Amino acid sequence: MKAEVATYLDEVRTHLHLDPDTESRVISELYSHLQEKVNELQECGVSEPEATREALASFGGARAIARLTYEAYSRGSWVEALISCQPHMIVAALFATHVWRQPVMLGAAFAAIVLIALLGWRRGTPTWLYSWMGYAVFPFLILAGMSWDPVVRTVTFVLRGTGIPAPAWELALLGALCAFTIWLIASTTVRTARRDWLLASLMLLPLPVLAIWLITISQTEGFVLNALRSFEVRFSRWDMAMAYFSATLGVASVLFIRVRQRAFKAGAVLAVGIIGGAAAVRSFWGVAGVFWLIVLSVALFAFLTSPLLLRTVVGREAEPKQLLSAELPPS
Amino acid sequence: MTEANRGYDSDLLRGNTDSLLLYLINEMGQAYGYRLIKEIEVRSGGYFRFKEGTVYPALRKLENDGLVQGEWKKLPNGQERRYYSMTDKGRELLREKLAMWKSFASAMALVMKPAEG
Repeated sequence: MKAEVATYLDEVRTHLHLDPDTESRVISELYSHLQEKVNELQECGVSEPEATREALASFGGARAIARLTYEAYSRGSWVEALISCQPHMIVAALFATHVWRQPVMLGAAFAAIVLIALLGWRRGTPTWLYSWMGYAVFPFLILAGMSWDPVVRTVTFVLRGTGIPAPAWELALLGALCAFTIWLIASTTVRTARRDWLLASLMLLPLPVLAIWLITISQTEGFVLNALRSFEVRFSRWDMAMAYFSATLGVASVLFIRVRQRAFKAGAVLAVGIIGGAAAVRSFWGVAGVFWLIVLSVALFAFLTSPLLLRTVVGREAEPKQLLSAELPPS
Repeated sequence: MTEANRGYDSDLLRGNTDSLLLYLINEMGQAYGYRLIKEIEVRSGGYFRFKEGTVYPALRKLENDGLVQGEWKKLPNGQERRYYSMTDKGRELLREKLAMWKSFASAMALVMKPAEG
């Protein structure tokens, strides 16, 4: 019995996309049911293989059961939805009020976001956490962006054989910062995608537009530190575009938490990420042609769905312990 | 819940699954998924037959809505099983549903009388 049931439950689990503890509880309950059904059939004189087949047939298709279970568990409360949209609203407020130009306020806002993300991570990675995590990695992205130029310049100098342009320890530090940021984003994305690629997409949602905004600022103003000191009309326009974009992401995160169906969750993330992202970027670049908007939309789509590909490569999270033993995990 | 037996309109049963589960849990005091399925099957004379795995998402939704409360219990053989019991909110809703069902069934019977003769 165990092999067929384990295979069946494994398929259910593959399509559950819930956190490991919840998955473990769900699988335990289903296993308990199947075990009882098989025992009962055997008591009626049915052979074990036949009883197992009958129990699984009457239980329903693994994918259908997984989908219904996901829908039953995946809807968060309004409180969770509210918590989930907060980082987007904080960032929208930073842009709308132009407060992001004040280093103290900007630092305080991102320190709070990082802190809340860390607390959420330690408290069992609830679904609302993933909106916070997207912004939590952003300060590291800024630092890596600031380090990127000196590191590239050094590599170029070394390749030309003209020596290094700055103290070695400084460059090593900047290189380490770049490597740490890449590792942080990659490892967090991989870990999240192993649980559910949609959560990883939700996490990555603000990053492409923030990165493009950062690059655009740095190209016009010599990176963000100079932009902090200046105030131009066009920056003000970009601020409003970013504020609207962030607020739209907030709406998407509320929808993500509240809707049950997986297809609608994916629709909310992708539609807002692509349409909102393209609209925001268009405001930085001025009048962009249809061709570039299509290219941008395709690139955003590829970026936001990349966790799906990642999950197929790295696989899902580890199996729950002692799945088929008598010591099934309690709630 | 999706029924295996297609002798009736599936929407009719789907719309009343919550009531069936709440009624049985209330009557039994505490019940677990498999027992509820068997009870529905036995009491309906085999008329209602569900795909058994669909009872758990239905129970979860009742739990999310605060109508029932789940609790893991360890059995003498070491196995664990999740039992569901009613909450006050669940009892209140069940009372309303039963009253509504009674009025609805009476009205239906008044309108849809079988042809005489």
